[in-house]
Parts: sequence; structure tokens; C-alpha cells
Amino acid sequence: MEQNEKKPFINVEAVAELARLSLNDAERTAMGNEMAAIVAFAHKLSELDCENVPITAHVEPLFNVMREDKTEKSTERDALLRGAPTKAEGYFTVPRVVES
Amino acid sequence: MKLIKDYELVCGLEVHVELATSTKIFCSCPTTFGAEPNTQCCPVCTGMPGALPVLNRQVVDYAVMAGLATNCRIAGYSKQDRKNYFYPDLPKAYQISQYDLPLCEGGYLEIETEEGKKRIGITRIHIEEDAGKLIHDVRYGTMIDCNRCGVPLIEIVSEPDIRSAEEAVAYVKKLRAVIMYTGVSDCRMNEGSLRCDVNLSVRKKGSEKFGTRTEMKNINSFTFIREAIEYEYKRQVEILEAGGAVVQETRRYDSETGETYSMRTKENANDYRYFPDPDLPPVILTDKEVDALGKAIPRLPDERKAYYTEKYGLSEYDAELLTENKRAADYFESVAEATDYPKLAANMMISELFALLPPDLDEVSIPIEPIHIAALATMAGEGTINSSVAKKLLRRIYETDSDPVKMVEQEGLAQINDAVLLKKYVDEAVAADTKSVTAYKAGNTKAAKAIMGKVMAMTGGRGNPAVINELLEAALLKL
Amino acid sequence: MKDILKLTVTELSLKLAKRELSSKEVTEAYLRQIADRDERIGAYITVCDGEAIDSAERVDAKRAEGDKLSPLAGIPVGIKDNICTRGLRTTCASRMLKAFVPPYDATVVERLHALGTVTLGKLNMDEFAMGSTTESSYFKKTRNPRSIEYVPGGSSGGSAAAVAADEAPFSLGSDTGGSIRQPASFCGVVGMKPTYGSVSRYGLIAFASSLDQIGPMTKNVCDNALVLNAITGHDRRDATSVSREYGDFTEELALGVKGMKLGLPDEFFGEGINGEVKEAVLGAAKVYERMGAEIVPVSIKMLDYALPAYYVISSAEASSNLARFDGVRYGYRSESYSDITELYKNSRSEGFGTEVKRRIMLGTFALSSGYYDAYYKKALQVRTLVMNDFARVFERCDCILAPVSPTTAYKLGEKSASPLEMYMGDIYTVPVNIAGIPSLSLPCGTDKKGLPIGMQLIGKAFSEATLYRVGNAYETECGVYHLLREGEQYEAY
Repeated sequence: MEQNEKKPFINVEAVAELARLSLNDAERTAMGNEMAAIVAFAHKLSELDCENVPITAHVEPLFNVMREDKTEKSTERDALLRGAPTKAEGYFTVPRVVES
Repeated sequence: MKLIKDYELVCGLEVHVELATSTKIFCSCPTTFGAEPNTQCCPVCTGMPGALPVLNRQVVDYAVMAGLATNCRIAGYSKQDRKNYFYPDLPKAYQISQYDLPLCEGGYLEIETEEGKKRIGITRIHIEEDAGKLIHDVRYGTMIDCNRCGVPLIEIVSEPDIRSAEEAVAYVKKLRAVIMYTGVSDCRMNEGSLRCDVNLSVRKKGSEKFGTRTEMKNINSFTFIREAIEYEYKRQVEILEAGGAVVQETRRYDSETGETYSMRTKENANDYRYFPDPDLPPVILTDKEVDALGKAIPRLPDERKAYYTEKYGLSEYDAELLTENKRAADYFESVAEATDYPKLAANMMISELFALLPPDLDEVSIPIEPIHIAALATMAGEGTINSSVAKKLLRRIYETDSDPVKMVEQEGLAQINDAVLLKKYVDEAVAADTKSVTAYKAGNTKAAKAIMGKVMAMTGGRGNPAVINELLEAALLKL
Repeated sequence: MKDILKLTVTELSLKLAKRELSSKEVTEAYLRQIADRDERIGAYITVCDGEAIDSAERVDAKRAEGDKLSPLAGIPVGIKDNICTRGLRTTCASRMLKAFVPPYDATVVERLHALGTVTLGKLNMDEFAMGSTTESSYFKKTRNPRSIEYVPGGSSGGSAAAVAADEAPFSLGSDTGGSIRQPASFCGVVGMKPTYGSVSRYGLIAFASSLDQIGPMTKNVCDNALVLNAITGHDRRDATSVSREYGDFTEELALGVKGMKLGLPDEFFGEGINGEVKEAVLGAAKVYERMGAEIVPVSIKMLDYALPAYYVISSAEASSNLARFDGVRYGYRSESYSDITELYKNSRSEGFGTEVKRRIMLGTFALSSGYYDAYYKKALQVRTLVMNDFARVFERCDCILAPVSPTTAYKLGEKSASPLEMYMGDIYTVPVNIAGIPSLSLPCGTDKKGLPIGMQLIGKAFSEATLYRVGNAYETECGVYHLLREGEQYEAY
């Protein structure tokens, strides 16, 4: 963002939708205000000119961290399904999804 | 495909190919197809808390090979990114893929069209993980099997260079063949190891601008690809002709009705919020490593095609048919090495053998030893047996895989080349079939065929057709 | 019994090796202390009485047979509840995981088990490690053992309080933006955030993947080095873990600071810092000078930008890391839903607390289309600048001496109102996580209310041995804070 003055419009409902969170009216208002305050704070970053500054996505200069293509024992199905809220015949289950 | 008025079809394909590694892309679970649900899973591929991904080296190698085989530039530096969205088949609620720095870019494939060779551009190839399988059930709702979660995929994105349904099919066939030849995938469309998404728009010929495009996901047979494209092209043209506008959306192709339907789900409006995956360091490849991988690629279809046409004198068309499937090409080469009549052998394979096999060459291996086909070709080439005997024998050894040379010996199937004996039969037949002779003399040249048939019958089908023909012509002339 | 609780890990290790004490005795002593005190302090979410005694007895049996055991064998430990323990509930102090039992151990837990430590239980924290007071825990509030009306800090509040209240001889915490160092400073114990990549994150329930690190919390510096030895090391299951010769972190402990250069960064002593805190840390600088070190003024120009960058990066990564908590395969699922969308929304909205939801929303926003460049990408660029800043400073000094927090502990309930105000408290700790470098937090004073004041020793990557050396010198000169406060401690109850 080039202009230091411009504050972004936060569409709280759209963001909540993306994050699969549901907020009631009171929560939405409170969240909106808090987010606006924090985002305004984060806006401080726009003071810096980072034109030629490379990003650092990883602090350690690691690369090519890979493993051999050798199988290892999988986790027992029972252990994997143990915490499942609903399950049937070895599958995790959820309400019927309309096909996408 | 017939164009309507002067509306041009603009089509690009996204093909997902499952790589034939032993383990998944980010964990060491096995990738074998058809296991009991959720028996090939671990905390990593089921997205359990605290689990972390570690990249499978073989996936990078295979992806590079696929890129080299399709003439791509291999990136010296590439990274993995998270694509965030919610769906029950996606355990982490993000897919690890590649966004702006894919492993391969800027390649192409050559296909044969009616107007000759055409290049279809390949924008990029990147690696990513597959999602799980969903099964819809009346009792339980939707059932989730995570065995497929984390199976490695390459996504091959073509430029929108395709202009007809036929070109699309030719492209997919060629791509499949090339990938199969590299050995990085078995490309079984019916098992889902090769899946096609079709992006399609239309525009008036000569226009520079692209029309609005729709996407049809997961079309898994050549026939359906062709039908879906033809239907969607027509649908879009009709909309535009009526003055409407095409809606940008994902549509589902229904193979029963042959039509496409809008999916109208909110997923269309997804913001994937791509960002570099902090759990995975980048991949850096040197020229040396890439070259080594290139050397590991077996000869690709086009190279083999050229070899067949030059060395064996096959037609381009025949060579193309033989190289469409690697197993067929490997088989042909074993046969061709064992006979001095490779062109004949090719003919036999194409016109007779392929007809006998089930339609998908992936499934079944050819149940005849290559040396047996070679022997048949040699015998036919040398004139030991005639073509109809050869045909019959091939069908028989397809069932039994016996040695045709022995069969010819034991059953006395050798071609009769003895001109004296044949002349005897010709004279007998001509004398017996006065009706045909009269018709022939009256100008009906086809009548000679009937007499030919009778002579053949007398030889038990083993007469040398060329010699018989000559003798017959001579005999008829005399009359 | 009091004696046992006063022993450091190093001392316990010697006594156990000499068989002057049994692991069972030690474990029982700690379990009794927990039974007596923890109702008030609230450091533990889960206590493993039975299993702990069993483990202890197993170690005692091995020792009786003459097996050679590691220095940590038979020593009890408390583990922060965001570190997976197989078969033992791991909740992240959240309703979302209140019944989650992992089928696997985190790598650090595997390593400690292999060395024979005894798990006392799982320690309270801010929900999903997001917070600075431990007040956002779904289960309970933890109180500061030094003064129970005050918070222990966060997010590893339980880990710090357990050590401070003698409810564990050492504990494991995790630090993403100060979550080991700040509670250590609030509770008067020693905590180390190691170099990023030196301790495996496999099994640590992720908050911010590029910032999280597990680290030890102990009574003194020497113990801390001993424990760090046990948990560092390359892990093939963590692609961000660094493979190198880590060496022995206790090696340089006794070398003293003569001739060393300690940097005092200007910006860390600016307007926001509390007067007593400033005084105590500057006082520590004077102690170091007395011991022969040279104090060098240095500058971290990027200090003010590190905090907003931290909140962008950590929230963004958290929003993605916490998306897997969707009520489908494990964890909390809402009772009311009619389709998959409602299942997701209701489970997540009911399962997560307010602060967690706030961070998820922020992170989702920062990554969303149109804002990625301005926030997330910019923050990653600022990270480069912060790293460069530190690199320049380390050319001029061996380590940096700085305050941990602008203040001492807050009163319970004091900071709940304004999230932004609370975030400001992280100002001195987050630059360290952004740069991926190590920092050791240890006490250097007490304020008028009787609350501990902490200082941090910040070093360049993989220089933990140096930090322990400098920290140990202070303790040698001034004494071990935790042991000095012995008398006072019990008054607070």
C-alpha cells in the first residue's frame, strides 16, 4: 500500500465466511472494531519502503530437505478413527455433501 | 468437430496425473490403489495436530522428468505454497501445491491434426498433493476415506491452444503416451491416475479477445472429453447468438445425458489465500541434476515413431498407432527385432491383434510371445503361408499362444506355391463353373472372384493367391 | 520433602546417580506438592499420578540393575499442553481439543522418554498459545506463585508457574512471540527460546510455523543448558529442523564474561518501559561490567516494526494452521448442524475462544486477495530487515542484554479489555522470533510489589552456549533467584 493514510475496509462477514466462523451481531461489531484497531496498527508497516527488499519466508537457509521413497507402517485405523465424532465402517462421516 | 457460423473454440486442459511413487508426497504411507479405507494413513496425511510434511525426493525427480519429456524449462528454484479452503476430503483444510514458482514451465506437445502437425503449448507443470475420496451414502451421509490424501500429483496446464474436440483428444492421448513412456505414472484413466479438467470459451474467428470461459472438472475418458467439448461449445455459441452472455462458472458434464450443468456452488468464489508453506524449504535444482534426470527418460513416442518410419518403413499413421501405448510399442519392438518383415508384423498387430484385445491396452498384456508374432510375419513374408492362413493362425494363437511354426508344420498349413498343381485346380474350377465364366466373358470382371474362391476352397485355403490369380487370368483369356 | 523440592535438576541428577535418592521419592514429593498447591496455582490441566509413579519405579529398577542412565533419567517434568503426548490428553487449553488424545508423541517427548524422564502432567497455557497471561485457557486461570493476584504471563504460564511453585523441577514450554521468556520473567524462573530449527516441532501443535520453538523452563541456568542438550537435534520428521553439531550447551558455563561485549540496544529502553524494569536491567548491566564485560550501546532500528510484522505473520500462519480444526476427524464437534457448512461454522465458533477467533480473522484478512502484498508480503520483507539489523549488531557484541517485558506481571483480569494493549507487551520479545535467533530469559530483580523482573540475553543463531555462559555468570555473582526467594514464596499462598 503506497498511501500511508488509506485504511482498508474490512468486510468482517466475508472474512468470517472464509474462516468458517459464525459471529452474532454483537460479536461481529466487536470483532470489526478490534480488527480495525489491530489492522491500523499493522498499517505501520506501510511506512517502510521495501522496494528492493527480498522476502524471508524461512529464517534458516535450508533447501532440498527431502526423504527417500520408502514405505513405513501406517497408523492403525482404530487409532486414527478413535477421536472421530462420527464414523462408520472404517470411514469418517459428515452430513451428506452436495457434490462439487 | 463442426464449427458453427464462424465461432472459434478456445480450449485449454488441466490434466492431473498421479505419480507412481511408492509413498505419498509428504509422508511415508503407501500409495497402492484399492486398499481398505483409512488403512494407508498417518498423522501427516490426515492433518492431525502437530504433524509436519516432508517432501518425497522421487516426486521431484518424476515431475522433472515429466517436464523434460514435454519440452519444459525446469526451474532452478521452486517452492511449495498452501492453497487454503475447506472441504471434507481435505484434512488440513489446505492443499500443499505450487503457486508462483512451479517446477516446470513453457513446454509443448506436438499432435497430429487433419491439417498436419500442431503444437499445443504447456504453460506449467507443478507438484501437489491429492485429496481424499468421498462416498455418498443414504445411511451415513458422506463417508471420507483418507487413503488418497497426500498421493503425489503433477498438474499439467496447457495453453488455450486447442481449437476442436478432436485436438483435445489428440492432446490428451499424446500427453498420456508421453507420460507413460517416462514411467512416472501408469496413467490409468479409469482408476483416476489421470484426470482432465476442460476450460472452454468461444469467440468469433479473427477476434483477439478471449470469451468468458467455463470449467468442466474431472472428465475421465476420451469419448466424454469429446462429447463434453462439443456440447459446451454449442451451448456457449447458442447463448451468444441469442444475445446473452456466458457465465463464468464450473459446470459438471453428465455422461448419461451428454449435457453440462451449472454447479452454482459458493466454492466458485473461493479466495485461496496462497502463501509460501513455512514448513517446507524450497527446492533448488542444478543443471547437472536435471541433465541426469533427462538421461533417465526412456525413448519417447516421437523418437520411437521416427525410428519406426525410418528403420522399418512404417507409415506415419501406423507408427503413431503403435506408439500411442508404451506396452504396444515395446511389444512391437520385440517382434520387429525377431523378423525380417517388420512392416508386415506391424500390419498384423494393427489390423488383427489390436482388434482382438480389450479396448484399454493398460489392463491386459498381450497373451502372445513376441517371437510367435515374429514367426508369423516371417512365414507370411517368405510366402510360406498366405495372408488368410496368417490371419486365422493369429486368432488361434491369441487363445493358446502356441508356436505357429509348429502348427503350420503339423497341420500342413503351408502355402501351396506349386504352379503345376494350382493350374490343375484352376482348370478344374473353370471347367466346373460355366456360369461365372459366361458372366466374366460378358464383361463382369467380378465373376472371376467366384472362381478364385472355388480354387482356394480346393486348396483348403492354402493356395498362393498371386499365383492363382495369374493362372486364372491366363486361363480365362484363352477361353 | 521440602529439601527435595529445592534441588535443582543438576543436583537431583547427581543424587539419583549416587542412589542417595530414588526417582520414586522425587516423583512422590512433586506429586504431593501438586496435590497441595495446584488447586490454588492452577498450573496443571492434567496430572498423571499413577503413570508417573510407574515410570519412576521403572527407572529405579534399571538403576538398581546397574544400567548406565542419562543425566535426566528419573527426573520429573511438566509438559506444556500443546505438545503431543501419546495416550495422554493434549488440549492446547481449548474446548476444541478438550478430549483429544494423540496417538503419537512429539519428538521432544520421545527424546525425553528415551532418556528416562517422568511425566508429571500437562501444563496450562493460553488457548492455542495465543496470549500473554494464560487467562484465555478454556479450563482455568493460572496464578503467579510469587503473588497470586497476578498472572504468571503467557502463553506458557503453567510451565513457568509449575517451576516457580516447585510443582515441577523443570518444564517444557513453547515460544512464538515471547511465550517462554515473558512468563519466565513474570514468575522469576529461567526460560530459553532456542534458535529456530534446533528443536523439532514435530508434535508441537502449530501456532505460527515459522516462529514456534519448544524450550526448557528451569530454576537456574545450569539446569536449562542440561535440558536443552536433551531436546535439540535434527529430526527427519521436521523439514525445518537444522542438522548440525550442536555440541554441549553446558561446556562454556563457567567461563565468565571477562572481555566479552554485551550490547545494550537503545530502542529497548525507550518510552514504554516501566521505570523499575529499566532500572533492574540496567543494574544487571552494571553487574556485568563489574565482572569484566564491556557494555556497548547498539541500535535495533527495526524494533517498532517488528511487532506489527509479528502479528501479521503469526496470525496469517495461525489462520491456516488452525483450519484443520473443523470437527470432522477429531476434536470438538457441535451438537447442532444440518449440513457440512454448519458443522464447520458451529464447531469452530463453539470450539474456539475469542482471542483465537480474533487471530484467525486477522490472519485470514491479511492473506486475503488484495491485502496479501500490503500485509503478509510486507511483513516477510520486514523480517529480512530485522534479521539484517541483528546481524549488524552482532558484529559489535557477543550478545545483547535487554528487558523481556515493559512491565512486571499484570493483575488477573487487568489486560482482558484491550487486545491491542496486550499485544504491546510483546514488543521486546517478538523481534527475536522474527529473526529466528535464541534468547535466554532470567530474573534480574524484583519490583516494589514483590514481582520478579526478567532480562533477556539475545544471541546470534546457535549461540546458546554463549548465552548460558553469560547467564550463569550473573547467577554465580548474584545467586539463583528462585532459590533466593525461598522464604518469600510460601508467604504468597
